Amino acid sequence: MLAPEARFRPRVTDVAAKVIDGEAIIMNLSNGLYFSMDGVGATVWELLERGHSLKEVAETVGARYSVDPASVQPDVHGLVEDLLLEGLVEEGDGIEPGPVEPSAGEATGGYEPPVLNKYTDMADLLALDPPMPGLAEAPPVE
Amino acid sequence: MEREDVLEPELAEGVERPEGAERADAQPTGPLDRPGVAPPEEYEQFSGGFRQAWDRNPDQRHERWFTFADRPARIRVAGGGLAAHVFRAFSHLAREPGDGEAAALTVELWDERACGVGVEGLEPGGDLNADGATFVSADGWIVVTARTQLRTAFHRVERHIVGWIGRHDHLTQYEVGRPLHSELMLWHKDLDVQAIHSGLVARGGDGVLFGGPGGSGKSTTALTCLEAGLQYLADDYVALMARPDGSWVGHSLYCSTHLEPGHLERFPFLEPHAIPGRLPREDKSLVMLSEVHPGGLGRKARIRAVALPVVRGVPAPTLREASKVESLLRLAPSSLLMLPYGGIAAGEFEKLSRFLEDVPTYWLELGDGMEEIPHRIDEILERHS
Repeated sequence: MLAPEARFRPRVTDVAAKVIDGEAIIMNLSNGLYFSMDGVGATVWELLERGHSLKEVAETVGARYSVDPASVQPDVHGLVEDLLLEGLVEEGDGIEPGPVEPSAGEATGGYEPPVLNKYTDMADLLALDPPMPGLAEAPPVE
Repeated sequence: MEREDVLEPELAEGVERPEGAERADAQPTGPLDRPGVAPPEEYEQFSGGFRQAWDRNPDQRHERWFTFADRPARIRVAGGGLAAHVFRAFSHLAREPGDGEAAALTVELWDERACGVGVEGLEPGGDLNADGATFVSADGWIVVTARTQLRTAFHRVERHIVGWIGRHDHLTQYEVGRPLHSELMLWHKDLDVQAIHSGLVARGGDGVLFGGPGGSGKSTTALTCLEAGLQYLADDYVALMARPDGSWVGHSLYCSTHLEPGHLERFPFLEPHAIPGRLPREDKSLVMLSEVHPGGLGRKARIRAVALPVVRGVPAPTLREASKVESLLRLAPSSLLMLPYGGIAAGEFEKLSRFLEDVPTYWLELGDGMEEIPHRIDEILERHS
């Protein structure tokens, strides 16, 4: 059971993500799985990235879509549980929330429960040819 | 040829063991593991081995310069057969030696069978079907790429790749068609040039990049364009570089293509040059395009647009605008997840996103009438050049 005050952040070592045109694309670089979320899901992702707690996420989403935050909260919790299960986010201590200005902007459609779309086509290939272990970022270029 | 010399691990006299010689955690174990020989030691071993092979075999010395991503690279090979293989794959990138200009990359390889210089524990021969392995020093800066007949150590600080090849005639098809693939991907990344899984053709220096997973039509599109007179730069990997003025440039890497038999039949002009695979997993034929159409190969192009080939069974190739999200989903997974350094590729996702936001993106729907593909590419170039 996730605490409403809990804050999460993308797992920076393994996860690359981007929100474009209101859709989030998230890649798990360690296992080759990648994901997309549009609408509410993309908004939730941006709010999580900015360090907002689950409660704050539900309140912001509720305000954007003109729905009761209490009814949004189970969807947010369910989505974050999925993100945790896929290793895309981790709970963080001391995360300072940023401004609430997600690029997803104002809601353009009605509220729909967020869905994490999962793509597995690259995962088998990555299993056959895994990336180099233990690499560091590049040494400085002269 | 008998092995005349066997190098001991302490071969490189006067060279102290570098820091970080301990093997990093979580290294693979298997037949390619060399217990007790950490990547820094291998680097020293191979450097010493190359020096011996080079010094003792003046008739086997071959050196050429190439341009990789606008930078001079010097490749020295001890062994005539090996040199022919390596130089052929990069022949379209050849350049004159730098006039006092330092190489941004030095590659030194030797062929044990040709030069009579070996490395303790490494034997010419062995099971070519075995999987490769990678070993990384504790500091992450020396990377050993190990295959059955090929083992290199890449010193990322020195920009130096040095390696042993057991016998050049036992290299696999991909090792011949794309020499040093993993090593060069990492070298490009260290210079902030991103190797992405895509094709690229150009006309007059203006290029269209093709993105998509394997089987999406990148090779068909690129080779059809080559046949029609456009410049071919790649059908599988392109080195993508951002310029300070906000434009994007794609650099060619290899002049080789790998085609399945059914695919090859579509390109009769390539068939006489096809080199079939020898190993069970080599189900494609290798074609060195420098031998087919050297004048049709390009080195680099300014990328004006991205086209995403997709087989849709349409009566003729058709262009349709693609959203940025569609483009990123099509291009990023196979570009980033298949890189040998995937675990440190997070920043490259951001760069790829920026690239796709900067250039127009299209679906290129394929079906019948493949000969019209070059017309669609020209249409894109006319709109955006």
